[in-house]
Amino acid sequence: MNIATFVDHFDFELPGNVFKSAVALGDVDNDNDIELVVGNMEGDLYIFKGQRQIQKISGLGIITAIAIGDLMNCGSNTLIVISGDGWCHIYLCLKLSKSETTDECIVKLEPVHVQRIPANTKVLLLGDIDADGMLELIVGLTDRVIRSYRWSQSAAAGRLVPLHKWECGNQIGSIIMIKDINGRPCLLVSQPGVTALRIYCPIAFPELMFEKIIDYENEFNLELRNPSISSEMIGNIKIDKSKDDVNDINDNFYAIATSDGLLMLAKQESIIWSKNIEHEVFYLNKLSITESGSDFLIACSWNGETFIIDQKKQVSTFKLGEPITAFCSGMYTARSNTKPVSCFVFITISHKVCIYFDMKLPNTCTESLTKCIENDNQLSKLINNYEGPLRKKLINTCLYRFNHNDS
Amino acid sequence: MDGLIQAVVYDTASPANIYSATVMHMVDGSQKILMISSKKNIITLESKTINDEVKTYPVELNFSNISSNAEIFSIHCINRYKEFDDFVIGITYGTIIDELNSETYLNIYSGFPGSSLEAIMENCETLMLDFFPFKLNHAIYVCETHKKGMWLLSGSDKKIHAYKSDEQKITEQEIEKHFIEYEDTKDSIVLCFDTKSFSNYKKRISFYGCETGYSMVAVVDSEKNEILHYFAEHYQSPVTIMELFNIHNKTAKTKHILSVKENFIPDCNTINEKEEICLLVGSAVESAVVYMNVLKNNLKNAITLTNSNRHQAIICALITDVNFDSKNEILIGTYGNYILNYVYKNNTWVEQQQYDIRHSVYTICYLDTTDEGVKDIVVMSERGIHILKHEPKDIVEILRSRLNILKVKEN
Repeated sequence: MNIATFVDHFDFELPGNVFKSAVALGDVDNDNDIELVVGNMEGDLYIFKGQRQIQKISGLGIITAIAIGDLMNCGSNTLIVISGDGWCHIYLCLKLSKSETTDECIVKLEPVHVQRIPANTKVLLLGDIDADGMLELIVGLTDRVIRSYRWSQSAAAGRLVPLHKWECGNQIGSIIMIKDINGRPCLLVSQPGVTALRIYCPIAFPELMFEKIIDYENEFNLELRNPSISSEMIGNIKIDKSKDDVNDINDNFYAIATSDGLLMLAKQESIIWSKNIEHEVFYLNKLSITESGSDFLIACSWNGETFIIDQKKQVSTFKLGEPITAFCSGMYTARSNTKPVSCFVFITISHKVCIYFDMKLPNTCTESLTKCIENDNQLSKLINNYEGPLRKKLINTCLYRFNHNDS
Repeated sequence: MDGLIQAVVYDTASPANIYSATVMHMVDGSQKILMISSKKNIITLESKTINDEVKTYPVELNFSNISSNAEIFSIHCINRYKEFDDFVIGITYGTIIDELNSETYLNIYSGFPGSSLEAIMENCETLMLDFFPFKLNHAIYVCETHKKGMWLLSGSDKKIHAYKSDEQKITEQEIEKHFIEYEDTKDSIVLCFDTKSFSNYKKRISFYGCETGYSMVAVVDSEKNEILHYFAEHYQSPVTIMELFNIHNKTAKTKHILSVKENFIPDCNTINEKEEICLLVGSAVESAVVYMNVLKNNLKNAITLTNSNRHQAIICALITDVNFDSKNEILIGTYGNYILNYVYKNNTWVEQQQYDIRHSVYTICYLDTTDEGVKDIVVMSERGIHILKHEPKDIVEILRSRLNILKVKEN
């Protein structure tokens, strides 16, 4: 296992405990910079931009979930904050104001809407489940219920209109939205024991079976595992296309991580590979760290150990060295007027937010020289007469004791 | 340092120090690194190829006679003979008895010619020291026209001590009898010192650098144990590194490369006086300096390595050829996380690259860990062990073009 060493980071103080889903990275003020939003159990919401905190909103109840996205379908991002007792606050950045100290525009988010929805929200997802081009709000509750809402704007005011309600057989892990082989959006809800519930929107696709439990099978013989073990999921993983072209463009890859550390890459209803990282995993995400653009899987455990898994199943770890209560990974504008960079956000148990950015992974691909020589026709012809120690000596002499002036 | 990729990083529980690594050079051309990891353990690196990918991994070595609560300070190894493998490994360590008292020891491990490392690790002699050990090194002197080696150890008592291990016993020798130049250390702790012989071991250049900033270079007649020349310099901060080197490495004759007949083992105890001899001196605060042609110019012709102090203190250095031009480059490891690379071009030292290790750099070694003929840079940092490898594609490119040239010449 490789060790990743990240050095560049900012620390912020953040009092109070933070729920797992109450951290989000996104462009809340629509200035193309990506901000970090964290809400705690005391009802305080903090917005960080670059190296500083730019806004604090109080009195939001026990914040359990946060999402950033164009819920109102008006072209600008909104911030949706949901508390455990069912209050849904929606914030919008109405005007940009020039900060006195710097040239940057500093936002003030304004509340635009408050609405009571059923309590006990656990996870939030913004997605277009009925393929109408508009975003819907999908809410997963701790009482095994999934609801969807649509923002409806009237002349006087707007409000969230409830659309659907589904009930799961078991506790909800995470909700992701993927597209099936025909490009139709569907929801996957991770369920204990490495199963998932697939849901199609009944209005958009009345011909399909709305709900189906998917049981995954792989070489790890999942039936033998604890059926109550919970799992996390992440969808829309970008795969190295160049490597194997057997995968259809329409294939939608997603990953599943069980809380006992089994990590799987899946498409449709089957598992492509699995890897046991032997650590308790509570969070799974994807992140494109290197320039190649393909996604790495990021799995995080409560003790702050983070696993970065590439698509060849190679694992690098990063140790924060401190227990954490929440984690988030994604793009963040670490320095103003620069492109967002990939980053890790840790919320530690000691009430600190650590943002690690400018991450460099140890290069896991170390092809052997012997193989490279074999692949080079001309060189392998030149060097083929030399075997074992002789070849080593020839290479060594050629590299380190070559006379450049002897002509 | 172009085209170097950081292949792996291994965690070590506690950081290394600047005396934590030594390289064993076998006569068959292979090399093995010995490193102190996490204060108690000594490890080496081994490689194997799985599915055409090279995996280099650390292997723990169990040296006998080191108590479990010991903390290892420094390690050094030498090969007693030029023709076959007969390694002797020296280790200094200490055990803490209580808050005020600790005991320090020197262990010397040896075997017979051809002994395996496992056998050497079992055969140990121990000597209790009455000071805190710093750098462990060895030096060659001439006694009645015979070359003889001796262990040298600098200590917290502001002296350099000489040891000999004879008949299963380590005995301290009077340093001035064999190494007159190390007798007076100007009442300061010596952080770095070394000796290189020339003129067929008749003469030697010795040098040391102190915590007070004092450094000395002496040319000594080895047979008479007499100082011929003596130059000293005073720096504003502790002298952390001193390295003596030739810029050009000995190259092989064209016809010998393809026939692979020549058996060349570089002698790390000697320096070629027919070539220009340079001395690199690095200190904690100032920029490092290279004194060119010290035999002729003494310390008058100094070239400063511009900006080499910009990443805090200079901690370690390595003189080697990492860009395959048969000329030596200077790699400098800094406390501020970077390895700096200086190249000799147009009569001056030019900075070529800096390489971000992201943790304080304590030691740099360059050796063949995979036994394929190409060397890798092994760095010990505050975090652990980093292995930087040359991009195999670049190596293939160089080999192809050079072998083609050789083939053409041969015909």
